[in-house]
Order: sequence, then C-alpha cells, then structure tokens
Amino acid sequence: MGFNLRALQTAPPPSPTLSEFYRFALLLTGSPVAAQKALASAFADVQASLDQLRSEEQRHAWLAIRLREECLSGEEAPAAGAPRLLRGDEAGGPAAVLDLEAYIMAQHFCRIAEPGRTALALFYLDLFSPSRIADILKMRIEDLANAVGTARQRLQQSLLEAGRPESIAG
Amino acid sequence: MNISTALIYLQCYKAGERNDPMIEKAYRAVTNDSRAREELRKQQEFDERFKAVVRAIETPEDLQERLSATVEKKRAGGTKWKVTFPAILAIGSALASLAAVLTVMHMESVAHFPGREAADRIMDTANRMSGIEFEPVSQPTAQLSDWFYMHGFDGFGVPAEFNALPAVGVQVMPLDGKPVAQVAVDRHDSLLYVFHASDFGIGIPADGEWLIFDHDGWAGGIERRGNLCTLITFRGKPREMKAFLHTLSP
Repeated sequence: MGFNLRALQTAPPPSPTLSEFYRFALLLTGSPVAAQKALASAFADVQASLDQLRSEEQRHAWLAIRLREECLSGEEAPAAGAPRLLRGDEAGGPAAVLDLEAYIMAQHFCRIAEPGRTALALFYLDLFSPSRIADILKMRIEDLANAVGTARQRLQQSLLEAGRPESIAG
Repeated sequence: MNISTALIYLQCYKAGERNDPMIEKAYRAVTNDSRAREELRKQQEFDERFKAVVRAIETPEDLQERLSATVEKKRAGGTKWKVTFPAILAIGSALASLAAVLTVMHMESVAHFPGREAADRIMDTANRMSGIEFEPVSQPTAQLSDWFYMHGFDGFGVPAEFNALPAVGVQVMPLDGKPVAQVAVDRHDSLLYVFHASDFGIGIPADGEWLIFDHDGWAGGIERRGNLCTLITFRGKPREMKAFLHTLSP
C-alpha cells in the first residue's frame, strides 16, 4: 500500500493509496472535478513538508488533513445541498468512468454534516485505524465513534428516503 | 464496560481487522448480548455494502501523471494554476451500453411507432457521454423548468407522477439541431429525457399512456402529452419499469 509522493511522475497507474485519497476527496465533495483539484492542491502543499514527517503513516495523515481542508474550503460557494458534481473544467482526454450508482452514493454522502462526513469517509477507506482517524480529527476515540455512528445513521436515512437497497438492514 | 457504552465504541468496529483496544474491549462486552450482537451485525452488513460501492469507484489511470503535472506547474511558480484534468465521473459504464433499439411493450406490446429511429438516436447519445456534460442539481424534477429554460429548452415539464423525483444532474443536449433535456434521477439510477415530439417526429398517441421498452438489459418507458415526450430508462426489465411507474403517484 506504499505511496510515494515523490514518485508521482514515474508510476503510471494510480497506486491503491492514491485511489483511496481520491475516493476520500470524492466522498467529501461529491464532485470528481473538485476532488482532483483538491488532490492536486493538497499534494502541492504537502510536498514541501514531507521531509519533516518521519513515517509513511504520518505523511498520509498530513495529506488527509490538508486534503480535507481543501475539500471543505469550497463548501461556502455552492448552495448547501447542491454540490458541484459533474461539471467539467476542460474536456480534454478521454473521461474515465464511474458507475451511476457510485455517483449517486457520493451525492448522498457529501450531504452528511461535518465532522461526521470525514469520520465516516475515513472509516470506510482503508487508510487509517480509528485511533489515527481520531487524531486527524482531533477527537477522542469515543467522540469519533459517536460521529461515525451519527453519520452512518444519516447516510442510511438518506439512502432509505431514496429507496436504495443499500439502506435495507439484513 | 456496559452495553450502551460498548455500542458507542462499536460504531467504529471493523470485522476481520485489528481494532483499537477499546473497540475490542467493547466487542467482548457484547459477546453475550444477543440484541447488541444483532445490531452490530446489521451495522456491519450496511458497512460492507457501502464499502463495496466505494471500492468500485474507479480512479482515472492517468491521475498520477495529471497530479504530477499540476504539482510541477504550481511549484514552478505559476501563481495561477489550472487543473486540466478531464472530469472523471461519468454517468458512465452503465450508460455506455445504453441501447439504441426500443422494444416497445406498452401494456400490450408495441413494436414500432413513428419516430422510432429518432428515439433510438436519443438513447444512443448515452454511448457518447462522459458525464462531464451534467450540471449538478439537487431538487425535485418538477422544479427544473427554469433551469432548462435558461439553458435553451423551452417548455420543460414532466408527468405529474415525476414531479417529486429527485434530480441530481441535468443538461440540454442538441440532437439534429434540436434540444433534448436530460436529467439524472436519484431513483432506480434512472435517466430521464424530455423533448418535443414534433422535433423528432415521434408519433405515439398524446394521451399520457406509457409504452414500455426493453433492450440489452435496459428498460425504458416513453409517453407523450401534447407535444412533449418523456422517456425514462434504467437498467432492468420491463416488468421492473412497469412496477416502477406504478409506484409513482401523481
């Protein structure tokens, strides 16, 4: 799962960790374009700080913090509940594909209030342990558990209202 | 640790993984509580379902290169850097195979109708979509007429039973020089097309009756009221489309 920021230029396919960070940004913003912009900006910013961070986990945590800031910084601009989703900036090369289902899921997810949205997104991604997520969000582990629980409930409710099968308890 | 405290910690429980000590302790605390275990089981099921969707989100193959280029550009001192990535998200793989042919069933089955070829071409447009075409919205479909008017489609409207459907993406696409309104709907992963029947020579009866189609695993329903045609599609079977339309109340 190693992800070397310095090797960005030489590693053609996205690493699993980069993919996780991309998904994290997508869940927070609901927008692939916003997610990529946030990623690029966060990468550029953390690059200078990499040498100060000793472990890979610390670098990932630092990137997660910066990425979260980038993702949430644009939230004031669009009206609540109307995230930027599919608007392309410049249609250049071939667009990759995301299933409609994932697109709609991201819409439900990005409407969850903070900090539960970040807590649940990080919980669902294979990047950090719960205690590290608590560190990132500057929370106690019990507060993180509460935040994850509340966010999960909100997500379930949202999916339930939309009649989505994922909301149905087994 | 009592059960209620344990249940709080267990919100962060990950099955089959190494959990934090407090969470493991919470897990042990509910070992003999069948209700708590059942609650945890449901939670885990939901988590697994959602995680499967998240894992299915594809990352563009060239993301690293693009990020690298952007980072380099920014580092090189450009005060105004611009992301030039193509948008990734597409109403995509699902749409890529959207069929051109409509097998009309109506309640009794209709194989052809005037304007069928044009309807085929409208459905074909999904094959060329990347997803960047959509403008994000978050409102009931009935409230989109102003948006469509502002974007070149005059007279947008949907059948009353569609009014409350939540729209999540919209666009006006030109076809043969005529505008077609398209809406991504957060119900049954549906795509909705609205267009003027006269623009495409659609000759189905203007009585609001639904004709139900099937092609390559996709179900479609089309109806016409006055000069306005509504076409809705999703992946599924005609009977699902029929059931879906029946669930909508005007």
